[in-house]
Amino acid sequence: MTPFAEEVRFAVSGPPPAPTPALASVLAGGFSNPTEKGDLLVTAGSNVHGPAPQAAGLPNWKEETEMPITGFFTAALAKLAGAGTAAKAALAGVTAVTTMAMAGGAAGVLPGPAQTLVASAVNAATPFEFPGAGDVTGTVGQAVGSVPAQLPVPVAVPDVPAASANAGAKAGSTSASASASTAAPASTPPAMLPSLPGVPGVPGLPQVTVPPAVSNLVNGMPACVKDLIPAGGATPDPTRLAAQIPGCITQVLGTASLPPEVARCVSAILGTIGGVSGMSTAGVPSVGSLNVSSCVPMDTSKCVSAMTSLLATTPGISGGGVPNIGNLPGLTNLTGCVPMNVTACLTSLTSAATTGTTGTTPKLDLSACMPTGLPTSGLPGTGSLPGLGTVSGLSGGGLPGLSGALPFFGR
Amino acid sequence: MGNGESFELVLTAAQADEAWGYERLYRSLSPSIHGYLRIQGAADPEDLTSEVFLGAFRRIGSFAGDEAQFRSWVFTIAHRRLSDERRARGCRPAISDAQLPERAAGDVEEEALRRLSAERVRTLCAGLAPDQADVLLLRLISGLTLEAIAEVLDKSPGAVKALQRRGLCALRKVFEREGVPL
Repeated sequence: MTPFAEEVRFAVSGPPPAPTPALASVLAGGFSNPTEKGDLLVTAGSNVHGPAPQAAGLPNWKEETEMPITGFFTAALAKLAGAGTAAKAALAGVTAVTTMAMAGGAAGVLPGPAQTLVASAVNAATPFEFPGAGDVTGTVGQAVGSVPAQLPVPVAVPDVPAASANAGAKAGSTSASASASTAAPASTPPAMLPSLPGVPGVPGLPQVTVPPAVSNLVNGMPACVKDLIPAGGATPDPTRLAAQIPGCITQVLGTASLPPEVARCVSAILGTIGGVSGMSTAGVPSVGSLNVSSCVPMDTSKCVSAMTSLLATTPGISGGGVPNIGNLPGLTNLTGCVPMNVTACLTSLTSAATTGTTGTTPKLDLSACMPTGLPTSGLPGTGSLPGLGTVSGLSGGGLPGLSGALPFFGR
Repeated sequence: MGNGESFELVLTAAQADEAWGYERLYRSLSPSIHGYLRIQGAADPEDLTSEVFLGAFRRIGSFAGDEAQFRSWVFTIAHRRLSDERRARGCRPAISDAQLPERAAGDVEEEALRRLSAERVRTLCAGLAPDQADVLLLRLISGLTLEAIAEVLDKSPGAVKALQRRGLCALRKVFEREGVPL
């Protein structure tokens, strides 16, 4: 076998073969620092000029319909289906109040007293600077072009106490809000939050204090907003909420006598929320038709970009199972749409609802749901709402009538 | 490994994506891999050798063992690549070594002799069963043990031993017929 072995060993002797460009790149710099990109030499000659055109052309893709804004909010709120009814009610109330106040107030188109109220409250609560009643003309002239000389509906506005010294400083550039601050006492004791309904079988809820700005903001809203939480200790009924919200929207819009553009914006936003709760969505515009330019508090580009990004990354909402809120991506980015830390708010509400189902003291911290920059001292905090664990319907699993009232959850 | 470098040091360097580690391993093993592929009739043994080492280097982080085991591992990759190429070539016309363009080499005469040797070995192996040729070539070229060859060929050591014995007998008959002294 010696001749064969020698023949073989001689045949395989010699220098290393020349490596291909791809291997040479690795030998020269490793995989992490290749000296050239790709291995073009392996490209088939027939592909040099790109793929051959298809005789049949491109397939006729079905035109994709634009996902309406209702879809976005439906997807977002579907994530909340696991939360308790109380959490939903609280979120709906906060969202409605905040949206209505911010949309109308910042546009500078609310009736004078209402504008002053909203401006002082928002200036106290947020870093934004809002025009007061004295600045309405210029702002409206830029926004809508004309202002009705007479308010069609008289508005009853409560006294506006000074929000705080800080608020006066922030609102210094707005004459109306500045005058409102000077007209009121320099310091006002914290107002009482509207009393929450008692729940049978549980101790009475303690009275909590909130900053004047928040109190004014709530008091400035029509009673229907406060009535979203039922009196008498009953658990908020989603079906009833769905019936209340449309009327409340109408009332708010009528009271404020908003110009058509702003009313359309506000009704679009609130109608979307209501639509998710079972309201008719016939008049709810899609993203494309929503006149977001009227929604001045929104950072329009940021908001739309955030929505688009969120829609692209939101897992499919199936009717069979609602993903956890924690799985909803990108909520933090919605701060361009809603003047509050959405993620913190949802986390707080969900945590309270989850804790409530275990029978322990819930930790409902609404401060996270307030507009950004709002002073949180005095808000109901940890442990201030004892006994909520015994409230029926708080469990995320049992929401009587909710599925029937949420027609879009299966989308 | 040459230059007094231990295999462990070179392997560690390659696993750390150090280019010099790759280069040492390639310089050490590529001639025998290339020769094995060429004698086995690979269509383009140089390109296939590069593919073998690219595959080995990509997965070198998962390798653990000594130099002999690394040699066996790379030959296993080479043999599987060769089998893949043979299967693919079943649908395509084969390209013989003679049809490939001549590549520049340092010593043309030695390279010519080497090609003649390879052609001679290939002719001899053509008279063997493919499995017998695989065993004999791996034994002579890679220096692997019968157990290692058994792993490369995915056969039992006993089967490899039998293939080797029958292959040597067949070669002896050929040499006796040609009058080559054994």
